[in-house]
Amino acid sequence: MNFNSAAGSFIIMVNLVIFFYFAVLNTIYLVLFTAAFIQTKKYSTRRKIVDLYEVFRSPLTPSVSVLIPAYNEEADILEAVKSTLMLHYPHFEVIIINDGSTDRTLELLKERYKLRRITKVVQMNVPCEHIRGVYISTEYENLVVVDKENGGKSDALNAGINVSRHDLVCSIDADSILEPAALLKVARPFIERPFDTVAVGGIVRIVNGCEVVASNVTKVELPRNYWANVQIVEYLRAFLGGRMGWSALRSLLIISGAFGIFDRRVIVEIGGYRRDTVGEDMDLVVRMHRYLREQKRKYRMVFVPDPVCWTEAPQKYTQLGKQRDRWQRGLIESLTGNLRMLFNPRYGIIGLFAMPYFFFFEMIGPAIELLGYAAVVLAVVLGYLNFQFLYLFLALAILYGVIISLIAVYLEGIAYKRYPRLASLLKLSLYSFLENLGYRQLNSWWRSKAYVTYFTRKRKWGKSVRMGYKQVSSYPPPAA
Amino acid sequence: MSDKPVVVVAEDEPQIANLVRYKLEKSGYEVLWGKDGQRAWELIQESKPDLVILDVMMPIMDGFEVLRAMHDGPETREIPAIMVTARGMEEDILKGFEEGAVDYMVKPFSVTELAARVKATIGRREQDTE
Amino acid sequence: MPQADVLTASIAMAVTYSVIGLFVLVVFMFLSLIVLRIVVARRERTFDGKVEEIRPAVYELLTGDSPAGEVVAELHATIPMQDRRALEYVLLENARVLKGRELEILTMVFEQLGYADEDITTVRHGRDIKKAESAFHLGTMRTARAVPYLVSLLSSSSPEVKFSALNALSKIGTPDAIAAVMEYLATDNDLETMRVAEVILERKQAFSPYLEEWLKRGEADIPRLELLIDLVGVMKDTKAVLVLFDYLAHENPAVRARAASALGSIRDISARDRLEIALFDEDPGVRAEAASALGKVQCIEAIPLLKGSLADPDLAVKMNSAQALSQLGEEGYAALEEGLAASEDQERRVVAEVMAVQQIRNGEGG
Repeated sequence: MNFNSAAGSFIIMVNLVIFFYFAVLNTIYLVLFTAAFIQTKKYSTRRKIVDLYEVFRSPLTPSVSVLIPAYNEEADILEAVKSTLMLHYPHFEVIIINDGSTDRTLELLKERYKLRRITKVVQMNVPCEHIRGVYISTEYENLVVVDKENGGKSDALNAGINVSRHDLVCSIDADSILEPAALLKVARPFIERPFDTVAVGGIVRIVNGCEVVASNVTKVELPRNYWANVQIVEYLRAFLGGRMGWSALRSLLIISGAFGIFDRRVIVEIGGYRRDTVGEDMDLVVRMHRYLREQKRKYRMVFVPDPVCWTEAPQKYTQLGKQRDRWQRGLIESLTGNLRMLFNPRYGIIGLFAMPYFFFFEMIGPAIELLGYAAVVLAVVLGYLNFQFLYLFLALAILYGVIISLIAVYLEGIAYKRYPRLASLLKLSLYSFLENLGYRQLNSWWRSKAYVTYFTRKRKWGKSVRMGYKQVSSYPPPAA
Repeated sequence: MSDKPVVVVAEDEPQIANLVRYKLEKSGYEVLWGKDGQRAWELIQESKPDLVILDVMMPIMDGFEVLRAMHDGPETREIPAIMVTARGMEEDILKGFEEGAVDYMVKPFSVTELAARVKATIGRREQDTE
Repeated sequence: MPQADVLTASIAMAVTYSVIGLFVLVVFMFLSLIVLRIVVARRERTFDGKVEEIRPAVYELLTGDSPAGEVVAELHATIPMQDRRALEYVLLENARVLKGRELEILTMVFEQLGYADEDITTVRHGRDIKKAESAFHLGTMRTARAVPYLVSLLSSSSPEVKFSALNALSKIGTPDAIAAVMEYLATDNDLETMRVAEVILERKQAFSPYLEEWLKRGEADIPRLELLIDLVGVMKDTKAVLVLFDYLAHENPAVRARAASALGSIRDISARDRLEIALFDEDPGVRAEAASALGKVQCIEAIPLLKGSLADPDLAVKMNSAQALSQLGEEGYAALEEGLAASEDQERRVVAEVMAVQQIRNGEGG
């Protein structure tokens, strides 16, 4: 066997692995979508026969502490707090954690809500940086503001957990825009099965292009920006299909930090949020699985296929790149911190199926994809690959991906109808193509680069620039 | 300038608002509908109604906020308000009265009863101002 | 090997064609979605238009003085067959929010125009989704004669159907309906808490005797027992107080704690002695609930005991005791103030916090 044909066989082997990878990845998505679709149908039937406001009226509805970590949020904090206080829910408190802001975040809150300092007894159930003071509002009984030394988002959340006394904690980002019924929707699974449910997440949507009046989304429209649109398709695929599907298979590994609700006692038992990671939301859920399974407790984590929260997507190349870099690093940190769960039957379906999936397809996957493109190009150029294989590659790597994205858009059109105009659906289907021709590859590039950043240990809670949706604010801007 | 007493209905559920409006118009009132708190508050400021029917749970500004705003304004302070809510909890009823509401109705409710209370409240006020 | 090459090449082509085939399928799905959207949008617009037309007629019915019989006959004559769905929609949307005489009128129309019959037929023979919807309609409309059919739905395998039936039966509230619901709740194993609560809270008075009975009989499953105790507390069922006393002595601390909490919700002063005893329970959770309950029950005699509890090693007990004292008038407050001079740091801070919050809530300066 001469060198050429040995190298040739090797390259063909590599290519076959790549084909196999894409085929399996997209087929897994198909399975997830099917599971997601069934669950969503079940959920919509339930919605028709049960009034969400009965949850509201029921005295058995659990109390919730809503935690809002804030760092230098003077531009948005008042709006965020106002809209959170107006959530439709019978018993809840709002705890804002001022994570050592250097701007006027705390002052604005003190002025607007007439805060008074009190000596609150705080038990350090989970580790956090020094708490300088706790304030309550003379105007709103359920508003608490915690002022502490800077420690990062996880640290702020931990402080909130220490101050909170209710059974459930809901962590949200300061720039999340919540639907008024959001808490009702995510509290329902806790009421239905109070002894099992430990965590609930809901659908997060992209607010770019929508009209927002006083933190209410009044018109749902698609933005003009390319990046925003392509992310909308990506979110539809990831949330509607991905997360919902995993949840249906009882393998939910991530509940978005933009909006998630948890049993407080379990979080305390696992030591709170991990403070040295940028992916604290995923890390928390993975550790919850690990702990509960080690304790052999019966539990469930639910994803509610109902939109609860809107978030702003980065609209510039650099910002998006940084965000994806951070997400990937968070993913790496969450997985490598819990490696013992991989393929370990002790952790049930999480260990045997979900974690391996994330490990191979989400963590290593981007690198494989890049390698794949390179390998195929190389093979064609060197003449080792005939055209059938090239077509096969294009079909599996690109067309199959387009199919999955189209199905996600289709599911949105048929189940949620949040984008009322037909033109929106058509635009999104166009972006289904664009997502797979360029965006996905760019994403793989960013995510592969994240390994470099991971190893050079850059751990910062980065801040992104605000822009993207038309905000018709009812608040006068803070006096400069 | 109409002789009919003016009632502002602040209610985000159209089916309730439509019914209430029908009944009140039939009873001889002029009805203005605000489908969220902010719109309702604008209507109150513009029209200085004889009565306001306020749903507690509304988007943008809730019923209590509207009440507070009414209380703060010198021209709107005297306008009586009837709160309507899905909750029947003691704390809410008390809070409503604390904020200045004159009456309180819980859903599910009776339109006839609501109309009777409207009549009584407006009638009482007219007596007071005579 | 040439054959292997040909084989792999044809496999490759086969897979490629399947993916392309899938793509074509999805495109078709999409096109059908677009067509569906357009058709549905048009239908919805027409429907909305009809609903708008029908609403005034129904409002007239509800607010008018003419005898209901006349207006109903008129409705019968003026609404052509295709508007029946629109009329049903309007009837239901109003029935959801109304009560009393107005609801009775709607129920009568619902019956006389044949909607009740339709829904009953669906309940007996339709698909599960439709059964659940029809059950929901019958419940909203308080159709008493549907009770036997709804009861038979309780043996369905679909949880949505069962829940709809439970909900409907509880809304209708006739003795048969209530009895059927209670029998189901007592025997079904796959109970989802909220369904129980929603169903029962619709008709508190009717359900209380059954719940008391159930409590007396006892319940082996601890989660269900806890739920039962919670419900009884939330319903403020004074007749259950004696039974709850027994549960205050249950072997499981969670049950004892729940019982204490329920007694606090019921606010019956006769619970005083038992709660004072529970204040010394070995389990801190029970002590905490007992302290809280003593505050709610307005037990002035317990003030010295609660003051003693301020020194409890468990934070929740301290907290609840302080809260309770703050709710017990001037004497309670005075006892609380003395806690400021306590020797233990945490005790002082708990008292300071409760007092500060109290002052702020009362509008005094901070």
